[in-house]
Amino acid sequence: MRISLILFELIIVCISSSYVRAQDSNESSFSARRQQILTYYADSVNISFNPDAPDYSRPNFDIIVAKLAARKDVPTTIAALDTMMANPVGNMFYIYELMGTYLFGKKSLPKNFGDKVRDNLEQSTIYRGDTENHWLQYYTGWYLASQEWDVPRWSNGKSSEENLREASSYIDHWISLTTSLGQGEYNSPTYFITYMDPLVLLYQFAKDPLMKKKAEMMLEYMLADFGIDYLDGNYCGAHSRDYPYIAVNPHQAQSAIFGYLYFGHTEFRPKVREAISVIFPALGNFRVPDIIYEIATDRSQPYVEKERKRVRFIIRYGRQRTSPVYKYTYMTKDYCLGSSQGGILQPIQEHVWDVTFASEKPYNTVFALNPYRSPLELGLFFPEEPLPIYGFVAHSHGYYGSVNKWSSSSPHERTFQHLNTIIDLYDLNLNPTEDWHQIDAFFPLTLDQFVVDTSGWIFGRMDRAYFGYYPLRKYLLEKDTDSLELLGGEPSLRGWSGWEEKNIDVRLRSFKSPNGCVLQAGSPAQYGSFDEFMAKVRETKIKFDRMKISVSYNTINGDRMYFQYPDIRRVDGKGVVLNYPLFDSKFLYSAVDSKILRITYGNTVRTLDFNNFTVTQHTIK
Amino acid sequence: MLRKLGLIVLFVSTVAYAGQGRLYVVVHLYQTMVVGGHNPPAGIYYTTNGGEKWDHLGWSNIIAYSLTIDPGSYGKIMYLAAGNGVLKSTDAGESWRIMTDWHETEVSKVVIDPKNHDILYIATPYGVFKSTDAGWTWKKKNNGISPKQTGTTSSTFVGPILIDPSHPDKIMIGTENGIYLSTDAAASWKLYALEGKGVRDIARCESNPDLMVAGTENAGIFTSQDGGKKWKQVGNGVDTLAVYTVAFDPNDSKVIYAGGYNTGFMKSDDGGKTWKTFSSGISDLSLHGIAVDPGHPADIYIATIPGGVFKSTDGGKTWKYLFLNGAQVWSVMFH
Repeated sequence: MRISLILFELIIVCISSSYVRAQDSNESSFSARRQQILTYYADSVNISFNPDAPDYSRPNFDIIVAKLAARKDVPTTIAALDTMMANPVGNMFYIYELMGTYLFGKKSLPKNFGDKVRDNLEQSTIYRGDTENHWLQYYTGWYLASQEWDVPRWSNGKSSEENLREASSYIDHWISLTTSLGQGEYNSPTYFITYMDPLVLLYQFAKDPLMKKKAEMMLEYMLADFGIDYLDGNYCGAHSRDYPYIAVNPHQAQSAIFGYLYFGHTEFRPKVREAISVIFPALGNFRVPDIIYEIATDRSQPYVEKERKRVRFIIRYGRQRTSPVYKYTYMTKDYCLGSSQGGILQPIQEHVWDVTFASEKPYNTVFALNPYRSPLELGLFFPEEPLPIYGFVAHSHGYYGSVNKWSSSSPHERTFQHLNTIIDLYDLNLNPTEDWHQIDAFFPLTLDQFVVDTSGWIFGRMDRAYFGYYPLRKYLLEKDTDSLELLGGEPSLRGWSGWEEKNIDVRLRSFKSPNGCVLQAGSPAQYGSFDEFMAKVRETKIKFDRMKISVSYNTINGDRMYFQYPDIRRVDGKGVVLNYPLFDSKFLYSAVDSKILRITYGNTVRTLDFNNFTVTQHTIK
Repeated sequence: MLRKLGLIVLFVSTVAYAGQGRLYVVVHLYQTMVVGGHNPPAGIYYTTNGGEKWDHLGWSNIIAYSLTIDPGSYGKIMYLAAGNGVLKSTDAGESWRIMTDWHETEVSKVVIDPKNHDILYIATPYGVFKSTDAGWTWKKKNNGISPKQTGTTSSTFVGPILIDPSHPDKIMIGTENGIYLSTDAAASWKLYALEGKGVRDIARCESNPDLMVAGTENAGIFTSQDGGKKWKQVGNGVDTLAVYTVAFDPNDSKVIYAGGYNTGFMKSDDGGKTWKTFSSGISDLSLHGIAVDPGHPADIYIATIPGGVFKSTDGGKTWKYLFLNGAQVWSVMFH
């Protein structure tokens, strides 16, 4: 008994001391990364007024505020700001970025510059946008402008008092909805930043202490949500919105540099498209709590995270306005396998599942999808007429019309994940208005090993991560020669040197229906060498029933998985019902409708209570 | 005299036209629009000379759907239905105010009660909203069409709103789930006709209010001879079309015009029994609005998406391009 007690005390001491060290590490390493980011953008980029110059060097708010804050090239920078205000874009991006630039750069601006900003927003009409991230930006912009100046009539015809009231009301609504039913634009490697930036501005500049507190708590909420899916810079698992160039190369996500700022554990990649939008957070006073930092970086033990998010509002053709998205993430230090249940959860850019490898190599992921498009999908979410909007969407998101796209929702796909195994099934009996009748799988050429095995499995290894992919039907395997075109003509780098976007992958394509795959992930820590992993996977048994569209699979871990399309899931004979809380893991827990997020790491528990906007933290004895 | 009931204002507009002669079009967006970028001006354009010269009015950086002008205001009081909500001008478009807040969005139509101009109804993808104080405050009016009651979100996706000019409490709406009727000024709704059909537009013949025509998504054109209780689908190969706009000829109740996705300009001379298509001169065959010049009914204007505005001076047989190529012109109206 005594020995046990001593051991217990030792463990407590070890946990406590390591936690203290981690706290030091978080703060000091954050400061270093923050300074690196600010210095890089202030020093390395020269503003150019040449319209042919690369995007990042033409006048833009991010580079302007970086230079103003650093007091670098101030006359040129103010001229650039004048240029932007003389030709205002007049939308949600413009108003919040202008206000953020003015507020962060105030000390470097002439004393009367505030009058110019105020006059500008009295004249420049502002389009609100049509997504939740647009609205948060729009209302953050009006909130900051209206608290800064008491104006009887802004460009929208409303007074400061009216705008403040409306902005506060929307922000409160968004917080309540998100913490009750889950985020709508959930876990987007791109749009994550468009929530973070407005929240950072509200935290930094809101004069109302309660609004500041709300913003701080939502920043923690968003970063906890990000951190639980964070693996060495990668935003892993299922995403609501993911551009193809990011889906195939997670290192190119805008979220990556936010991960770098708050969590580290990855390379500094300042030239990734729109990475510069990290400037506001880098300038701001918000600091990620140590407990969230630990959760985002401690990969010593594998864990499962289950989450509930929310489908984008369905304006027609649906039974209800929104419905749950169920996410499942299996995280290890070497890889992460994550998924949502499939189906149309978001238009255009959904990313249902992938395995992401803990590697600094580009294209560190494998996934499959049914590239899908239909007027029905667009009509579910967009108010325009479904048939002509086809053409418009194809223009604004060129890849949407591409049969080769690497980002897509599909009503004909369902998944079932259990730990490090996923079964992915497709019923491709499409009606005449739907495209296309195929599934595609992405295998990067940056894999260290790639084996098309006579057993039917396709194996691969990248650094310390393994996968086995078992196609359920006959397929073609071809090297994509011009991946940039295949990504839909959306160059990801916009003139910033970086990865080549040619010859990046081998594409598996299968036209049969029903269809699908089984993916088994692993690592040396779990299964030994790559050869040993392959040998163990070969011994697993897969039974595919085409009539039932079902798969029975005994996993590499010995679990018996059964999945029948679309929604019958069993493990070891026991039914699995998708009815997750908002967060459910050893680190995060939040019940539906509770508005409370409990964050746990070691013996520390931090509770965000959005009912009364309080944060408490205590230690479990 | 006939008119399209979907825009109550047109009756008075017709009277006002002789003095003002303005043709308004509303640009939803440009096909080349990039969210967040500098885009060509959308919103309201107007011409006073049959389309030779156009001017822009009001906000240019907006997603817009339709314009409504208060018939008793001599063109001063305007409502723009837009993504940002309802914008109102009381000085003929010189200045505007957003009258709604975040609860009301993607407003496609504003309709004014013909007897009390302070009463407004708006159509949105989230249902009907009503104001009784000229737009200062709004209340959602979805009793009977809410998804919980109907089992589908399509019932709150509202397009056309028609107020009975004699009985303003009697209101008909076209939804993605058919036509609903209220007899208590939008306090409650009941399914009235065309259940399950996406009803895009409804027009009523002014000289004979029992005659109505409706355009639907992928089910073509329906006509009614009893004020909307019973509808008959038009055959002759048009029964699978997506029809976004319908209108009666102001001088002849048997002449009906229609258009939709890739349809070209459609005309019926027999009350909707048979239809002919005229596309000569139209570069983009998808129509979203039709306006007949009340003073010269042979002059017809169409809004196309994204081909801009076209004009016919021979009752729709041949067409000439006027303006706004590349724009999704959502609606067109005279005032």
